Amino acid sequence: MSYYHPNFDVRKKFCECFLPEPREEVYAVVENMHNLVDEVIMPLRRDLDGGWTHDQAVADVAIATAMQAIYDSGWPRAILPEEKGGLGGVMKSMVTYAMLIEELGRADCGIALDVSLLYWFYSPMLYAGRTDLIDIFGPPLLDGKHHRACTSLTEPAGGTNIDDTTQHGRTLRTIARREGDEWVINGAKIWPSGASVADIGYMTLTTTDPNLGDDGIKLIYVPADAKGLSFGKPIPTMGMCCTDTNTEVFYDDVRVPVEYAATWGTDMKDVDLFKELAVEDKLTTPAYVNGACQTVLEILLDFSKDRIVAGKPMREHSVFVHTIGGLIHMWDYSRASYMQGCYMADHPEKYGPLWGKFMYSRAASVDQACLMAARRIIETAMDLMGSYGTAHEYHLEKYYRDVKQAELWLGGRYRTQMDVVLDYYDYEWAGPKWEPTPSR
Amino acid sequence: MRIVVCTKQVPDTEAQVKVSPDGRSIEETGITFIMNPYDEFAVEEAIQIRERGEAGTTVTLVTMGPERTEEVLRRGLAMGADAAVRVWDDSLAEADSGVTAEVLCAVARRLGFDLILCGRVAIDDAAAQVGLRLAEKLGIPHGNAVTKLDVEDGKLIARCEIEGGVEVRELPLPALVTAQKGLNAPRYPAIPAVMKARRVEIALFSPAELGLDQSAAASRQSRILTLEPPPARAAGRMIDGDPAEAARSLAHLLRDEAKVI
Repeated sequence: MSYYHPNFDVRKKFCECFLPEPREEVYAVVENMHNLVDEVIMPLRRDLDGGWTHDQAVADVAIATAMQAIYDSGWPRAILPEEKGGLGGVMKSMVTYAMLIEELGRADCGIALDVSLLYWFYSPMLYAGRTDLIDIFGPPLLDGKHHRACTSLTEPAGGTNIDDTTQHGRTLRTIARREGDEWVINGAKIWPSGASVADIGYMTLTTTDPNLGDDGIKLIYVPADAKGLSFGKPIPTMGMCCTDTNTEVFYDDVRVPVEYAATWGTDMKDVDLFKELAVEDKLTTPAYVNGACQTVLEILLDFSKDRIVAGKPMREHSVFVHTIGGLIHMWDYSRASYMQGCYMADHPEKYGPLWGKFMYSRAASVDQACLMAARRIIETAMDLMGSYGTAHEYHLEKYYRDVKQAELWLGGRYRTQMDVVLDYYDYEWAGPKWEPTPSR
Repeated sequence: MRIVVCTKQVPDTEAQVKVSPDGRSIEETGITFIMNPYDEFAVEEAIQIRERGEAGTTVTLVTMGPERTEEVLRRGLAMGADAAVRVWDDSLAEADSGVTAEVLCAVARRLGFDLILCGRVAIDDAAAQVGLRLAEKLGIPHGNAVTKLDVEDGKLIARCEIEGGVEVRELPLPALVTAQKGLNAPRYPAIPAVMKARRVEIALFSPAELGLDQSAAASRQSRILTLEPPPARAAGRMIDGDPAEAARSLAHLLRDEAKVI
């Protein structure tokens, strides 16, 4: 840690009103993660990025150390239902998950993403109550070793429109064709986090026919070693440059059993699970981004305490007091926003299912508020610190890159803002009917 | 083997400690409390002894303090201790090292023990007395500031830090050992263990239940009259001018004023 203040402590910053019971258990679990992050992962921050030169070999050692510590903590198994080896209790709560992921984000957004990818991969099968799929894909979470999963959504052609629910999956080009007891998948994805390095599997957004709209959407689990699954070269990116791997995913006659579709044998709709996935992402990505902002504030408070301007510490000049105060309140209300959203997600009996219009809109709102605030916090901290803010030594540039990257997910700011209004008024996509391209 | 580990809750090393208005205690508002880091070494060592030792070995944690101190016990339970005991009533609010040792002595006798582990020193008052006083009261041998500990054939081989060197001692059991930094690397409790530890019932004893007469103890305990923060550091001095001249001035100040060279 750079700068100690009680308001950065777990019991102060996370308001207990949102916590599941028993609250003391939640605080104990999160405090434990807080300590682990401070002592094991924080010292690895530079290496997790491969240093200034983004040396993947350096990063791989650090990532392995950090992730092993997380697996040793027993956290990933919490994703599973209790009867399948999960932890149950307070660990089932999205609030607890978000608090834990915020702590992780204080050190590194990419490591937090690595854990989140597991949650996102398993959540459709969990919401669909597919214990048979959990039996197939769940065991890696129990062996204590670092595993990765991929949620394969965005496409080269559809781009961000894939995530626009008002388009009802009509721009999807990854086609799942039913042949006997199998799905045969053809198409391509681009940008999925964990692509090419995931060893658990690829939860893939497909359609049986784009003209069917929502009814055509299928979320299908593809094992990592499925025949016909191949990848492009990793695409170097600005943020999370070593902790995350983004590339193209190609599906060439990939065959999986019919029951690998998330809703197979249930009354649920795949499109609802797709929306649920987006809501979960939009409620929890702000959490680790908020963690990154905490660290940035700590660095800024520390720097401005010792930096003397016109005879007194920089942070005692009114212009800086005003600006730093503004950053702190943005950081504070961002947490209140996502904690409230996660609380609502934990209480579908009051706020409806995650795929309902209310939660979809609310999650988009939370995502936008927190991500915009995060970018402003880090940019302004860099402004205040001047060139020091851009220096590798001070870490801000790393958080800036990571947060900007997170801001672009699921369609980025402008597309996500379209989701915000969904609960306030209806609008629909009015594009032309999609015509399938000839098969390759 | 029955292992008892004495633990203490102390302010976080990063907390900014302030003297409270009464001038005799610290302001607790806004302070995060943690397990004394040296006690963490003791807890870890106890668990490791149990893990590599004879079947039936138990690790029981003891602390003296108000309800908030149960947090350190729960952390120790999450690390792997089997049971925990807290001792408290308001008569202990100003207990000094001697009274604390008396209380822990009574608890240890109540629980029964073969080995007692303590931290070498608590980082709040830095008295480094309780462990050694406890050994004295129990009439058992002790190893102080231990950085390596082996249990062999019913005795301990303890590597103790001493001024300017190391001393390896053999201690017959029962014995008491104080843990020094370097003894081990305390583990991070896994989340399932943290959750489980929240549900463990912690035994609570008052001094009277341990057969202690606190009015007698109070008459022979020392009292804190005042607490003062260390004096504020003087402002730094800038030496301007030609580099060669500035270097000469700096050397002069270091030698003649600061007297550090």
